[in-house]
Amino acid sequence: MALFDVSGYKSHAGLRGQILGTGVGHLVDRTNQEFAVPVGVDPSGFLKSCSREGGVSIDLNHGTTTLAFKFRHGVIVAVDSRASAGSYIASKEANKVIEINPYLLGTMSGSAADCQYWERLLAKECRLYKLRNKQRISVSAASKLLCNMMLGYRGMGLSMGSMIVGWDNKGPGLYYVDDNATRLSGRMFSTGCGSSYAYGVMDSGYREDMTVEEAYELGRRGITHATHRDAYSGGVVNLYHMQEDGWVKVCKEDVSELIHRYRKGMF
Amino acid sequence: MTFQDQRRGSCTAAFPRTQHGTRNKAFNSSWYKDNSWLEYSNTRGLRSQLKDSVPVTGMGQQVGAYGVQDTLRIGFSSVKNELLPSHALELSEKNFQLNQDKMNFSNLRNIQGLHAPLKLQMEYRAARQIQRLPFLQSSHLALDTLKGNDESISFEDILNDPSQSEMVGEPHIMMEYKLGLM
Repeated sequence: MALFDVSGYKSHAGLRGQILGTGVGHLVDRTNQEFAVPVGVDPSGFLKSCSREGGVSIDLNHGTTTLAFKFRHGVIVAVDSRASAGSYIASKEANKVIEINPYLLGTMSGSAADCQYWERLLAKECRLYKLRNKQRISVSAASKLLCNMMLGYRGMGLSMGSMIVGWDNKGPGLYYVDDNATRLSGRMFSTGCGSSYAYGVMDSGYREDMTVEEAYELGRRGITHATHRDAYSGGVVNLYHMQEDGWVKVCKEDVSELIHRYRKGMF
Repeated sequence: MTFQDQRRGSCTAAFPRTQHGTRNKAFNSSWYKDNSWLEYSNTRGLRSQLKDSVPVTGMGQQVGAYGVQDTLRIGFSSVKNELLPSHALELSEKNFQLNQDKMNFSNLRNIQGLHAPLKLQMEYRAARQIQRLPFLQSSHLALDTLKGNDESISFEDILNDPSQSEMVGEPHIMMEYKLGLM
């Protein structure tokens, strides 16, 4: 029998089971989800080698504009809706805000696949937290979970710039989480390649004691002016307001109509 | 240092011929000029020791409370460290004993015939089964004697001694796992 073991002989039945997968009555093991990766390839090095001129070129642009700011009556979140693949507009009504639960929102900028996958994973972890601990997860903890996920994959070429917005028992919360596992708490953030334009509008119009309508207008203006100047942002403005009893979706307005409304102050 | 061989500069080096179908073909250094993304790597043996999958965060076996791993006991997780070696010699050093054994056995086979390594491996298998229960610490004396390790003291005898580990496995679970009841 020792010879049998050493020679590594597998009988026909054993081999068949191995080739055709798990045996009868054995449930698929859902806890061991894995990513298949190419062996021995450094992803960020490969991506760098692909962004040279003359030949294969894969450009990952962070084509979007998202903004969020805290004020007296909560948090305003405004995003555009253009999804671009290089110079091709893949979608003009992409959804860049993920509604994790009635008290938590996450915005997405960067690579659409990365953002959607990891924020859905975050939504799943937040739900599990609520089931295990019988209370809602705090905004700080949710952003920390996402940050730790990004930290584990650091250097693997992920691209994600996200803002986690919520209201917990510490009040309104706004965190910026990056693919480098940067996690910042702040009063005002804007991400994406149109962010500089949005910052300009927000900084010049922001007051902590704005009324709700003024805050909505500021969010709309920020995105509209950014989409006007940035080629990779456009579509519609999706505006959310995070209040004490949850978020509400305020409006969804086409940017080209908004820009005509604001024309007075522009030319 | 990346795992892929950084020998692009040595374009005059002759690359070895390997069997492809019925012919022996070799890598051609002029291919570097036409394709900027190309890399050559002749580490087929070591390549098999790299992993080809990573568990998704929070869903691996080390999940503790709150869906994240227990950083105090397990340490930080870095997918890049798991997939790619940090140093060019890391893989060969990590598997040094394994590769040495493989080489010795194949030499023995070439010199004395198949029976010699076969008999030795049968003895190793038998000696490996002489152990105490899974949650107790075994001395592996028979195995060490066969391998020749009983006459040498090295790092693994002093550092990370299993008899002094802070964590103890749950006996019932380990027995069930060993007997295949889990």
